[in-house]
Amino acid sequence: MTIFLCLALIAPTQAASANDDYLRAAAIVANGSAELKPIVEGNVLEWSRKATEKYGSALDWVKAGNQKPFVLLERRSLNGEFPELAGFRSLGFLFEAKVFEHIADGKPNQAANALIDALTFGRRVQSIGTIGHIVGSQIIERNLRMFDLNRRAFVEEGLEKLTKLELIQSIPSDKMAFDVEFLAFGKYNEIERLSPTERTEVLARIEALKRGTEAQLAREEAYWKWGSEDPAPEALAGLEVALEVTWARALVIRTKLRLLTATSKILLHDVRNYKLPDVITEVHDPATGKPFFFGKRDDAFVMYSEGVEKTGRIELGTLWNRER
Amino acid sequence: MITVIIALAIAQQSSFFARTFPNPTGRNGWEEYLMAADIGRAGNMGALLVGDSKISRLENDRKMVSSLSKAIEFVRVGNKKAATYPFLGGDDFMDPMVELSHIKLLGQVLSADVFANAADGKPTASSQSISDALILGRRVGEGQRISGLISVAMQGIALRALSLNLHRLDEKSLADLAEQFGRIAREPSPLVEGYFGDFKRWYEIVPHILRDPESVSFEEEVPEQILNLSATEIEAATQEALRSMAEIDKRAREMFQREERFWLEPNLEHENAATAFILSNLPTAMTSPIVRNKTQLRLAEMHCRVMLHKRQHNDFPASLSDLDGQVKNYDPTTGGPYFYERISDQSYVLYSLGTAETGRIDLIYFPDRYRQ
Repeated sequence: MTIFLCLALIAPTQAASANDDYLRAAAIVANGSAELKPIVEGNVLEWSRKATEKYGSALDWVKAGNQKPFVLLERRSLNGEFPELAGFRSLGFLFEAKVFEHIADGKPNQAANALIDALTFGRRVQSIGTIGHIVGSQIIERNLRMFDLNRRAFVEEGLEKLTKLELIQSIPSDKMAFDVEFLAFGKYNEIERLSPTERTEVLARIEALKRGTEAQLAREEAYWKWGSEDPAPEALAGLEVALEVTWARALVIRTKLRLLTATSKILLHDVRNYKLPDVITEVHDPATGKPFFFGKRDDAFVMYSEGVEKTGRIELGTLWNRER
Repeated sequence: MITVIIALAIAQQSSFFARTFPNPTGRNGWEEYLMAADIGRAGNMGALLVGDSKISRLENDRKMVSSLSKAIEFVRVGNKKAATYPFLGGDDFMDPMVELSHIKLLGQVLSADVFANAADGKPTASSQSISDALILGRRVGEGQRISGLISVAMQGIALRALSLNLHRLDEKSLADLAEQFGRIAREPSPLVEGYFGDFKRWYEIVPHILRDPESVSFEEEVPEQILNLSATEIEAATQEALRSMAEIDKRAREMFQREERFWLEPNLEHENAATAFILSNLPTAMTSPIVRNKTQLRLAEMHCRVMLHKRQHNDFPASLSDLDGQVKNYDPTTGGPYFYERISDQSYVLYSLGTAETGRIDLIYFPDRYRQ
């Protein structure tokens, strides 16, 4: 069923945007969700090889799509149904398998390329409203975890690319996700049934939240500050809760993407100098405004962000409890 | 014309290869090793190894590998052939120290190749260089005890390169290296063979030490009171020394065969002063370096298998018993298991507790660490 839904969304003509490529990829894996669910015990490599052998062509579509612009909600309504998201999640698992397989096969630079594709894709998926933000974050987090588990297998060329990877400003997915929610809320909530005074108040509040969100994302400060200090109108209670969780999730992913570049710099230093650096100069931790914690012993190191109350400690290899 | 002939003659004279192999057969790997050493010397290998402090170690290594790629090729060709140690035989012990010091530098060049290939994402080539460095290092040890020490150092360089690049190796390379290290660890040690080789030569020297030391180039000064002994006394002391040597030889062979936990140096004391003098000049067994070397080779196999588990399961094993029974977790130096602990998702520790003489044994030897 899902495969038809995904294919139905594809435009009949060749499109210049990434959307069609992503949907084609989702269609390929649509019936493979059970097979693509990563195993937690046993021979992960065997599972990875089977998964990529059967569904690997889907990743080529994603890769092709990543080279094209991504148009949010292209030819889509705001009915809240995104059947492709299940496929997108499977594609994230498939990327994990591909990264792991490349490492086992001694192709660390191809592993880095697959990781970058996974993160780019995940970041774009994050744009698709709250659910998309959750799925995209899972894709990003799981692939970052795969990187972290195998971080010392990566070598110069791939690490150099990862140190320069910028997916926070170049893909404004958090803002887009918030905007979709604002748009959806303004359009579908029972705002029309409110009194004119209440309606004006609610719409003004949504506008204030939107502006506040934009400013917050631009400043990248740790703590969420609402657009207004006044208590939210009752009609907006659900929206504010949803936004608060989305904000925390956005903060975690942004911090993790910075941890990725900082970790890559450390590993690159190790590859080039056969030892870890004594200090790191990565100072901008969006969660705390302080440098990341960096500690080392012999040839091992740890690095993390202390995070904030809503996120807890943020580590590259630890999956965040998203709906805490 | 005469100048050219003289220059060629000088060049030939100074060539390690030409000097050692005036009539090369093309069948002895040492011919290639010495040609590689000649290339290394001509290419200023020593200076390249010191490196340029203005560039990273990786760049230094890349530079060196690029300059000495021909030497690396020669070593690889030599490793594929049988090798007969060329510095033995004749009336006196040849002094191959200059040649061996250059061969040792070749080990460092191969190690640089390990790092350069690993950094370039070529783990197969990287593991090939680990393997080549190890083979070369072990073959150096097939000579005398002094070359055994060079062999230990060279194998140490190869093991260090393995240790620092282990996480960058792929599934197949790890499986191949594990098999190779396991096989080598079970083979007779060239260091032990070198020790017995020295011993064998001493059987020929000993009968002459007290009678005519100069005839066998024996450089130690024989005490006056021993030189003044009667011919019968000298003969008796010599025969006693030969019997003691045979006993030491037998016990040492048994000890190395059994791989005992406690590797004891043979007792060289004797009530007869003349016999004691001969025995005091016998080669010592170098048991600590031998135990350390053998244990490091076993550890190398274990490390490769641990990393292979990581490549297949995306996780380090919780314990060494999780290694599918591919390898026995038995450390002959202690009679117990190796120490293994998974520290984090990215790291673990694995070492042997070693003996009282060696202290803790890691894959990399730190002379100043873990001394008991």
